[in-house]
Amino acid sequence: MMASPDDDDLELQAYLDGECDANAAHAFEKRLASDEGLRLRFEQMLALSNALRAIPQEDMPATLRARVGATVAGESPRGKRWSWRALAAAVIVGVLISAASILALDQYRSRQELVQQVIASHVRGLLASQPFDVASSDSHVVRPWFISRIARSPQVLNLAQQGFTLSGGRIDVVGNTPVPTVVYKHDTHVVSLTVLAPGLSLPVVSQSGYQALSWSDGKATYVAVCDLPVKDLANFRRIFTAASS
Amino acid sequence: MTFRPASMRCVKINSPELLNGFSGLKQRSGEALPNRDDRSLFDEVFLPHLTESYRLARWLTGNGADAEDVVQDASLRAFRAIQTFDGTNGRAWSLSVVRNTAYSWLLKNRPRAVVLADDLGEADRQQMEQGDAHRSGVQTPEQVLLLKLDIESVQDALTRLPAPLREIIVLREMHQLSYREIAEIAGIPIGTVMSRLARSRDVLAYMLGEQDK
Repeated sequence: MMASPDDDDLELQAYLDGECDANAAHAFEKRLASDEGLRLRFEQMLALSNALRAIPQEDMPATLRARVGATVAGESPRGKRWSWRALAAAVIVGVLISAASILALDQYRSRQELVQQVIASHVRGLLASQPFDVASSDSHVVRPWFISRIARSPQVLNLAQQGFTLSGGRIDVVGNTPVPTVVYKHDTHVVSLTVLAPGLSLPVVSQSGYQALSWSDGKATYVAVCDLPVKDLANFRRIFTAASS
Repeated sequence: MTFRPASMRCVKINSPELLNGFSGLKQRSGEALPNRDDRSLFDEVFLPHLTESYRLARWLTGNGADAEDVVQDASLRAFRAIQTFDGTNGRAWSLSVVRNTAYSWLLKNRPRAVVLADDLGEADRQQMEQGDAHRSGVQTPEQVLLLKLDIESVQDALTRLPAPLREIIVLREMHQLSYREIAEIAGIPIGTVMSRLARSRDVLAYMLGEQDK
């Protein structure tokens, strides 16, 4: 079979470019040895290939790498750029979020201040000759005492069997409002239970060795203050909640 | 395509992916490089070939300033498309991005200078790839011209070569890429790579021989 000139060229080229497998290369080499025209053509192509490879390659300008780096760095993730609309929306959302968080922070601060006032009242009670205005271990005495002085009467429970003996009651002023505080004794510790309006969520606050723990039920928000650890206050809360229901 | 070179038997086609078309650039293996940060992928895949990218762009555009613009555009394209890299051949992938960017850049900025193979008619394309029967092919010893192969002449001849031929010879001789890689980068079948490469060499030999006359 006679190969066309084109096929010869392609075969020569594949050999020149190292794209032949071993068998084909061997076959071509045999042909090359016997065919003078093919050999000359091959030498010409080889010389051309070498000449092309001898052309000096220009080096990249030193600034290009930095330019590419800057281009890619300027591309925000995923190739998205901020449009002015998105930017404006982001600013508005940002303002709203910060306004909301300032309000929330404000509320948090005011709630914390509220608890601090409750603690201060407890401390003032301890500094007085007695931490209560009415001394009684009888809830039927303490409760009417509150009713006669302020509109709201707190739950006054006798928890002596659970280790918290009712000692009396006093009226504190928290946030410009007179509020009832029931005083219990636990060993030598005095526990003040201040009763606030229902629905307040107050933080746990520790201040000057006193801990304040609060909780609320449908009727009121309670803040228990003592120099006991928070876990003992939690125990008090559990006992109080169990007795009140 | 009617062109079916007998010498295909000479080309290694033992790798199965060759028979399935040139899958390397288009398909993602999916598991190759999952969840990688775009920037670190770009730094690993594209940046190491920046010098080569510049050289290819330099040959395709014909001057350094244009080549710089092309490489800058190409790096942006590569960065945006980095997740489509299939993880096999970073060099061929990068050069294909540069090659494609170079042509779109030329079409936009130097519309008169560029002739793409796709723009040619079927007859012209066959002519470009196969040439005149009597000028290609093995010549008798008397016909084999002594070529003028000094650097300046070769460089000049290469510059005058039509772009679709020039890119193939540059990818082969300057970048020393395999037929398969060239096929991937230029987006053409391997048979077309072979015929264009043969044609390029033929035309170069003709131009370099002619000068002696």
